[in-house]
Amino acid sequence: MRRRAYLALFALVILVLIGGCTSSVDSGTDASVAATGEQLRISGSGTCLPLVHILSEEYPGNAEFVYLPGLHSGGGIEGVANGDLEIGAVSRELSEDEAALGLDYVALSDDGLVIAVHPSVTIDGLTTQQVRDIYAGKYSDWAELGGEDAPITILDRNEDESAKIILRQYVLGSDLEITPKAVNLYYESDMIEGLQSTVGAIGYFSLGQGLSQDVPVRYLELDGVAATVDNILNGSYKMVRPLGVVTASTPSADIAAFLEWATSSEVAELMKSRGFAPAK
Amino acid sequence: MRLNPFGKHLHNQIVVPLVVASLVVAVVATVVAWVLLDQIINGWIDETATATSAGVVVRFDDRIAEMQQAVRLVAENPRFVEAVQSGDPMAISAQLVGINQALDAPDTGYKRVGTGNLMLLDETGRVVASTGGLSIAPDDTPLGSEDSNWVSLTMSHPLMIRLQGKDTLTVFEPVKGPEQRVYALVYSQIMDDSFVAEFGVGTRAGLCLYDADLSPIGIEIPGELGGESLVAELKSPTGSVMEALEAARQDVDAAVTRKFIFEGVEYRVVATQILFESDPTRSAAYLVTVLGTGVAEQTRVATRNLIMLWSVVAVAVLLGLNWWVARRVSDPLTALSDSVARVADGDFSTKVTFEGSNEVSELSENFNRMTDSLRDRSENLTKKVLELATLYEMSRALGSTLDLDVLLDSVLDSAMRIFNVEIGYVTLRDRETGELSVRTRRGGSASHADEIAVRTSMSEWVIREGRPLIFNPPRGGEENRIDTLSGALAALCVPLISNEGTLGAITVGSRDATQRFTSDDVRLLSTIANHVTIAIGNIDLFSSLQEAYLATVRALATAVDAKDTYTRGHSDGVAKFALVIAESMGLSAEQHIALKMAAYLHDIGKIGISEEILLKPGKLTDEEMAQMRHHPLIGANILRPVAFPWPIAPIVRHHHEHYDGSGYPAGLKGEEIPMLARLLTVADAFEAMVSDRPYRRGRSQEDAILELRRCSGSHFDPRVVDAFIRVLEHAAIDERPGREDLGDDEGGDERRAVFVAVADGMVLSFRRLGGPRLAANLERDLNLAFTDKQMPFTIVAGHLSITGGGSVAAPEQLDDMRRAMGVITAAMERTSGASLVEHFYTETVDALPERMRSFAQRMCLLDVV
Repeated sequence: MRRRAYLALFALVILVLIGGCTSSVDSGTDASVAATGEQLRISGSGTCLPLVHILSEEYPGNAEFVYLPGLHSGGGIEGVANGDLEIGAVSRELSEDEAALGLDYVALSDDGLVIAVHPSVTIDGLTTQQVRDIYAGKYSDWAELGGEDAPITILDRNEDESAKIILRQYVLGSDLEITPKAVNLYYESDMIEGLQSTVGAIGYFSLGQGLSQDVPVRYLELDGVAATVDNILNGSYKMVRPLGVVTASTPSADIAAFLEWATSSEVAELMKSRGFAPAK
Repeated sequence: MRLNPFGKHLHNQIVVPLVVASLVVAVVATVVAWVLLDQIINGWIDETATATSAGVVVRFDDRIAEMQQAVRLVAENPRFVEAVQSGDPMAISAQLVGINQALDAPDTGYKRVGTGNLMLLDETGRVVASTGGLSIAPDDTPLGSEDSNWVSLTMSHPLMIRLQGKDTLTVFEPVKGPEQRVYALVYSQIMDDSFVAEFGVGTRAGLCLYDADLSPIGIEIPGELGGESLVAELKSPTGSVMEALEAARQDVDAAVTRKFIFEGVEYRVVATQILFESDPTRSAAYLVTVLGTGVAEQTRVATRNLIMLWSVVAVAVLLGLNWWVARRVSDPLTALSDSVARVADGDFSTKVTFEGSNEVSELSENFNRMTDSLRDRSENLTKKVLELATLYEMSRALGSTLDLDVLLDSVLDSAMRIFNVEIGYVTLRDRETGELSVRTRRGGSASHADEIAVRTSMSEWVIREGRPLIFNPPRGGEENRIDTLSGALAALCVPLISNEGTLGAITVGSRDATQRFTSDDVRLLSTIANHVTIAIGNIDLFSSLQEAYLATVRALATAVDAKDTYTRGHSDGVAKFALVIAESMGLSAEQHIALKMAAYLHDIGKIGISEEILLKPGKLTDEEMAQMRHHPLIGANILRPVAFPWPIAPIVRHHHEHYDGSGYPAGLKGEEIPMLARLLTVADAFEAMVSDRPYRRGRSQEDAILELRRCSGSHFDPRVVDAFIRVLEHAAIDERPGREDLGDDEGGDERRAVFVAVADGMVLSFRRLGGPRLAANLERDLNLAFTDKQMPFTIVAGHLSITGGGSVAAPEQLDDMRRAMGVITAAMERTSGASLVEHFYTETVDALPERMRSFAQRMCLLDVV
């Protein structure tokens, strides 16, 4: 019947109009589709997190990585143990207590610890003894060490930081008393920042982070051995920190896949190119 | 001429104005909404730009306050104060590094760009230690070394200053140095693009910061707003941006939004001056906020589309609604109008139906009731008119005929048409015997109406009682009481009552068991019956009048015969022949009667002729002949005073005229002679030729015919002669017509068959009337008689058979048959009387097929006929 045909036509016109209108209104607000994979919460050592960050960005698999504020290595381990984190970044060996928690540890890299100075300092390297003497406060001007005339600003880290622990282990020795003229910086990034922006400053930080971010500072040879990935891999540069991650002993499929990928030889090359020496 | 701007249909007159109105409303609404929308959107953009600009300025002030507070806190830090007091640059530098990092502390621990710079200057403006983004070496004098400058700077509050070639926002705080010297702690933040970007977080606006010379300090343009080219344009502002900047330089409070079109994209810009109060260098900064109109434009377009869409939808909905409503109103009206037109054209079966229970459907119901009522009335009216018309036609028929059968036929047909039935008959009672007979009938099941049927029919009752009778079948539909005569299931019978009593009855009926007759029908049929009664009375009257005339005329003719004894019986003979000729020529009944009268009277004039002439034997003298020739005129004169209904006198006057004009008395010629006179001339001559006269014997018929032929055209009208001779040659006119031998050429078988059929039919008629016992007696008597007279016939169970076979010669056989018929009629006469025998014979012969009937008549089986 005619009346029905008219109604159908009418409905069609309205549908077309509405369709056209809504498409013109909503075309700009198309929400991106949320990742379907598991949400992986990550935190821990500020030294190790940049590496994990690099890996997670390169990871081809399907997983959503969420970075929480840095907690140091111990905080990362504790977070995984009590279920607040899926992945804890660690930049030192696990203590006995921590090993007893029954978590899985996966070593990713042997990261060199490099001693560096502000670019205005014109020396190429220092001996272990010279470094000890600087931190002991026996020098006050770079001219005394063969550089240009500039006061030395000593940048240091707290004693419980893995970098300081390693530095004492390989250079300073456990009983060296640090001069009070030195300043303790809380984050490794502060160390890098300070080194860049303070004329005559000396400090130490992660070789991998320095190389991967192209930090404009001068890396010093230690006892004539340059801090490079090759030297670390061939064993001649010994001052390294083990970077790794802890996960629950029974990781989910997503985590397992990520870790399997992260320890592959392909990723080893990636790490090398970014300045991180792959774990042996 | 009426103006019909919306067409002449109600539907359109409803729809069009409403549609126009809704269109106007929709258009006005759209335009108003459009204009308002533009104003609102523009106002919104301007508002947003101004608000964003104001917000940024507030953040800027907040930042300065934060910096001042931070540097104050640093200046009170005991470890820093201790380091400064010691005067050891190493310690001071290390402290500054730590503090600067703390001041710049970012949210995340690994990625940050240092933009802050913290340095300590001694009282001469020389750098004691410095750390941060400016990378100033110790012993430099970044602020210059002139005392006045330096002092006024350090005493004042935040300012914009260029350090190491970079624009910085810098705050100062005095710090106690060694030996009571006053050092200055200087905290600077480099003002670059990223610095500006911090203020623009969350605003979607582009921010450009210019110094007092209107050269760019930092520019942050979100990617969605524009690309490198826009940044380049803003680095060296022109056009409306420059105007805005200039206006801001002139008037601090002038925060006017301007339109800025770059590369075809429209933006809004607003420029604000940022003032540093108590800044001795009178430093100033100008903030330009650039806001894209894309979102607003999108919103505007989307809203506009929505408004238009809904306007269109509203109009469409209204259109549909209007259309529907109009159809609801106009459809019934149109249908009603059509129906009324049909009713006006006479179609009363028109119905309109509308669903629902509103006024329209009530209207349709009332309309239907009206048409029903109209139809009923119209039908009644039509019926009445038909009745009247039929009655009129009938009354005309009644007046126009004097033939009873024609009259009854016509009345019966009319009555049946009025009542719309298929059966009808009229029963009349013989006035002398009182017997009933069916005179006219239509339809009915019985092949013929016998006496018993008539006697038991409802007519008999009606005639006897003189009252009408309605006979309607019972509703149950049982077909019992069928009218015996017609087989009708429903019948109406009214008597024909005259002054002299009941003449008969007229009956109409139907085999349709649903037919019902009413008292109205009785009245109507009674009216018809009255007419019929009157008409019958008229006919009776007329026939008695006619008989009276005829009797008078015959008396006159007898008078002539009495005078002219020679030609006694002549008038009768002439009348007989004249009627034969009239029959042959197909003349009307009126002419028959006139002719018959004239024939009887044609020689009446001889009364006036002397007996010497009339009765003179031998030839008349010329004078006598002249006397004789006066008799037509005398006759005419005698007849003239008599007011005959027919023109008798002219016939009499001219019956001696000759066709060729040689006759007398007037010598008329051909068609001038009245036709009946011409006819009478022939009959007169013929009778004169064939009849015996006292002085001579009549000539033979053949001679007479020859004589007629000879004189045809001269003496006689040839057409009359031809018609007469045709009759004479076909069947002899005799005292005993038909009594002629059927020669041997006739088939004996057919003759036998006809005889058997007639005999059987008569016996059957007898049996029907007299009953089986009398019939059996009749058969027995007949068989005895046949045997006694040695006739070759026997009759068994109503069937006659011829025992003799076909060897008998035809004439003998015919004689046998006639004798046998004589036996049969004699036997019947003994039982039932002569008149009934005649009835039996007539009935039987009438029932025979045409050929057999004529054959039977020629056989002349029954002498009495």
